[in-house]
Amino acid sequence: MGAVDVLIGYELRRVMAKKRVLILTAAVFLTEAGLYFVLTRMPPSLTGPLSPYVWVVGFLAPTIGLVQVTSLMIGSTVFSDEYEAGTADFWLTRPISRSEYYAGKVLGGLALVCSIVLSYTAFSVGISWFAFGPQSRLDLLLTALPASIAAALPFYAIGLALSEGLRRGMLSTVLSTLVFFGSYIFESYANVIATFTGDRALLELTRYLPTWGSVRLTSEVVLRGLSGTGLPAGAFGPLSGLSGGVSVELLLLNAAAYTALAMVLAWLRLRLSDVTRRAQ
Amino acid sequence: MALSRGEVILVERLVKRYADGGEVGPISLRVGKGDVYGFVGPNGSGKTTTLRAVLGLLKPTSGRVEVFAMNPWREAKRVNSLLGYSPELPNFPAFLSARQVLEVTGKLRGLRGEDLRHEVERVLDLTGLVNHADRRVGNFSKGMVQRLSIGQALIGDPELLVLDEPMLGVDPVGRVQIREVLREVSRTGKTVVFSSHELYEVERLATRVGMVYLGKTVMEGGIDEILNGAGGLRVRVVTRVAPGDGVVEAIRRIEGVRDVRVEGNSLTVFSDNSTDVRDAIAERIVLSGCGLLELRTERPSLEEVFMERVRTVGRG
Repeated sequence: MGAVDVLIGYELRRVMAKKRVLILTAAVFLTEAGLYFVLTRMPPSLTGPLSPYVWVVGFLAPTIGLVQVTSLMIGSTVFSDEYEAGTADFWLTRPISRSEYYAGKVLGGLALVCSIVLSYTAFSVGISWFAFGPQSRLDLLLTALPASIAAALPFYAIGLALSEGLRRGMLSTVLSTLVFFGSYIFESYANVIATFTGDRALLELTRYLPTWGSVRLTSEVVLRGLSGTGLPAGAFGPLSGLSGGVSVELLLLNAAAYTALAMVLAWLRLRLSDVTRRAQ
Repeated sequence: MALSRGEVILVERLVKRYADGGEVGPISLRVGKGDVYGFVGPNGSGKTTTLRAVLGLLKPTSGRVEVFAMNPWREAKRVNSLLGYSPELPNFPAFLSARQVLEVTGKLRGLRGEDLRHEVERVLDLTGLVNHADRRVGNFSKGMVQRLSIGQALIGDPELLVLDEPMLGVDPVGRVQIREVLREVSRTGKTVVFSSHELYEVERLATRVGMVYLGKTVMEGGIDEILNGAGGLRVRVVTRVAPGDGVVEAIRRIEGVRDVRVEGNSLTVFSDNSTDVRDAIAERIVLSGCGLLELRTERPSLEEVFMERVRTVGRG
């Protein structure tokens, strides 16, 4: 067992001991349960054609905000908690390099993000099967699951960079949440205005926002996969609106760029700065 | 100047400038293999900064730091594989038990299976934490955390122990235990560096001492060398009757005498090292008719030496 493995195990335990992460994870599952409860109350004539694909609703719903917020909550405590608790000294005076420390902590948090995505996916497939009968096109999950994890990464990484940069948990959580909602709100308004005014430049600008790739990527992958199933346009309600026929490659590039940039900044800060002591 | 043979730590004119404008240094120290090195100075004098530079936690602004002939900032992993560290006001992940803290440290030091289990039990026993091994560290008292901190530093039997204020917040029983542990470690030829502002502890444990004041090294050397030399000679005289002003003044005029303090029929004479003033003092007492009952030289305490040095630096 190497240093990175030890740190991954530790990081998983540490994050799971945090109440706000547990609350957010519970919120993801409650949202899913709530959605399916509403769907079961709809007349069968409406849900009928959708029934074999209803797992998509539960799978996509968290990807338009909840997963990003949960990921940034996890990311924004990865390093800052250690500085605030005074345990950064503990780890960085063990026989481990800063690269191993970074890798272990980042992968530990990431493992938790992945397990949350996997859990709610299993939950939505299971509950759909139970309430609406056998589900179709589950093969789409082979690409949709990695896409969902990739969509969570930019905000996990932004939380991570602020966590290492500011070394204060609450401040980095608040700031990364502001980045998410600021980008989300700006993008929504810009889209509306661009639709009315035909302002292509404004529309183009939104493609550089961190929410652009992150929020659209999963639905784009899933809804494209379902395009040959004969489902009517807008079958998944507001989730369908996210699929704007944009290139998946561009969405991935946006998500990858923000992830890479934030990860590199966090790494450079950790590698080049002194290890600060706990504020007494 | 590089590490010479047998030297474990070399800190040469270390200066650390902080973002808030604070500055520490220049600080220099040399720690040889097998030394029990007491690093003393008041709070805020630069002890912790120096130790953190030795551990590779801070990058010096200027100066040189070598540990086992390696640069700890660049080679922290290799340096830390050879040393155990206990910080001032230690903190451990609150959700781990004492045993888990020791196991994690042991695993990172390459211990596995039975070796790891034995080592954890040995350290729990050594630090008196056997009965608390499975309690969460978050529920520990300050003294227990300090003992655990010493314990995790000992895991894997490292060549060098770096302890920042190891006695801080520890009750008298805990202090005796920690003192015993450190003596035991030094008996095995390991090197121990510990900082403290409690000079009495340092005097009892250290073989070498480095003193820092206002962020600078003001004295460094073997404990005997420092106590016998730097503080000067101190002569305690007891007379049958209290000495009058005349004889006190006569003693004060002896060449080499720096100060005379009188308490009833007892005098303490402070002199330079260079001159043996005992004969001259005895002569003045006998001539005064006070009656010489006792005359002996005394070694100053580390605290007195330190205060004297601080006064000198203050005057300078």
